[in-house]
Amino acid sequence: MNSTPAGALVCIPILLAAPATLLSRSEDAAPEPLLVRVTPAVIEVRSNYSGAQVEVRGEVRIGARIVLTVRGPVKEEVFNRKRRVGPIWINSGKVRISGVPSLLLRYSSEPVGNWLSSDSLRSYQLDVSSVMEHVRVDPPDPAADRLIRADYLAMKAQQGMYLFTDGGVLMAEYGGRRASFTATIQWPKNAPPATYEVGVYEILRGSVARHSSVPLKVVEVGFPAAIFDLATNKAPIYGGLAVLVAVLAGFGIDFLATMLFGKRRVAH
Amino acid sequence: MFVFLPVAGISINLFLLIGAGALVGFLSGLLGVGGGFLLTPILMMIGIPPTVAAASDSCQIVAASSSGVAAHFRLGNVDLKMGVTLLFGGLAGASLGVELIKVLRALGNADLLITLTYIVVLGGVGGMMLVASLKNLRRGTMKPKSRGPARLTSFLNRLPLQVSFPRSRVQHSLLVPFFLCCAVGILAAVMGVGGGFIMVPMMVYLLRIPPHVAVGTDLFQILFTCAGVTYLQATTNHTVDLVLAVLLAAGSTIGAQIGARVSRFLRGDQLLIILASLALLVAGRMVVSIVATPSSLLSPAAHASLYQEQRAPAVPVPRLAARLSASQSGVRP
Repeated sequence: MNSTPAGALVCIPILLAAPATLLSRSEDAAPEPLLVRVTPAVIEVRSNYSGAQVEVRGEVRIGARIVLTVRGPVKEEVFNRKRRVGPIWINSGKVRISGVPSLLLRYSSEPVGNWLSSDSLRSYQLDVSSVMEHVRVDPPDPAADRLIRADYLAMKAQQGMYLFTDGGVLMAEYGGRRASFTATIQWPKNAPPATYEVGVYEILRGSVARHSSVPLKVVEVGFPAAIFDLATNKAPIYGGLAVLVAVLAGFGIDFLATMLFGKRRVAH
Repeated sequence: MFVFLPVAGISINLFLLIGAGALVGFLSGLLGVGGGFLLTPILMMIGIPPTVAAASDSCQIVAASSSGVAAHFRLGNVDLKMGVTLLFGGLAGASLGVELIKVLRALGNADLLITLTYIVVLGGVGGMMLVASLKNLRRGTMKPKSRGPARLTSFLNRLPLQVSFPRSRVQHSLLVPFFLCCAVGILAAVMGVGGGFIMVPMMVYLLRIPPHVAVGTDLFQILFTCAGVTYLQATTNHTVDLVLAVLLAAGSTIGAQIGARVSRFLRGDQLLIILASLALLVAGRMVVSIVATPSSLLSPAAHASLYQEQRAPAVPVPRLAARLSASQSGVRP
């Protein structure tokens, strides 16, 4: 794992998401900000990067349950659309999928279906069916839209980019009115560099009482960053270098092989 | 042991990449095929975005084919004069193929036509090659060169620009290999799969070039084609991942050396039988994939990855480059 050394432990009090806060007014007259710590705050991607472990900690009120999410940026993805023509299946046209995060991991302190209202699940997109409702398919295909959405989510789950799990958040009470929570997330190594959002939902009486989110950056540093910079900003040099390296590698290996196995010539 | 690929934006097992490269390099050195038909789908399967897979594959083919060319050159299997003629013919054919694809797409059902062409050509060429090679193998010697129908031979002999190709031990008008290769280039462009499968049998059966020389010469023209594609992909689409290409090349160059050396122990017929079997296998796989109900209605498209879109908006690749890239990598743009 590569992480920022010192300021790794970042404590970010969030002065909060207004709608969620309003919901909790009946609980406390002036609810305190939901305290969330994400460690590391920045995941540094070096040459030997193979994913990372991210720890999320925080404090909630006694009796609250926790739902934790990690979301990636919402981006459009393009796929080939398979259609049946007579007895055969062929790729026919493209399908653009949008409206949902590129990465979505959801953890909770207890199974969410038991105590979170369906309205909250839907409005905060905290389960598979509510996320599926937000998947936009372009061009629309009423006959196959639902199947395409389901296929898309299945593909993301297979890639490790979507995960809905009941569990993964540990709770511990302390100080009479407070409880702490901890979650250790195995960061997917396939998640590309971008700014992600770690969201924490405090659930009281079946609905979201407080909500806080903390950014989590994944950035390239060192050699990968230098290569990426060369590839994007000095493309002609990079292109020439790529060809040169490939040719030299080929002839170099041939030279080594000749040294090892000897030179043999066949007359024609 | 994992390694991060800076352009693809993902982390992959190092030995998996080197192993995949070695397998493809072995086939390249043995049979003179680029190997893109095999490697690009493998890379996509292990999570590399399609455009990065196709472009980086071109780059590793440069390494594998230069290694293979060097080995074949020493073995006396590269006909430079024929190689240059084929290269120009192939480039001209690929450009025409790009235009043909445009027309086919405008007519509709292009994908169906492409798929069927793929199966018919690969299955047909592979089947004929397998039957002919098995017959020759049973005879114990390579079939003596037939000169073809007298009228055709006489016509070909009367064509201008007659040139002797001593390394290939044939004499042809320059127009013959040029236009044949042009036709192969068109087919390769339409089918979106590399020329090696079609080029080697065409050189052996139509141009009467000895199989070993056909393999070495085909690698020679692949080297130049893929070098051009790599440069264009890197400068226009920014999809060449040098780290990925180098790791694949580490495997494929070694594989190509082994392949080229193993080819010395095999007779021409045996090489053709392996190539024919591979062609039939790919055609068979294609048949199964289009007949069986797919597990998903979506499949990865040769489109800039999410990562690329986020960080460097993709620029359309010039059509010829895209087509050439596709023809070497097995991915239809």
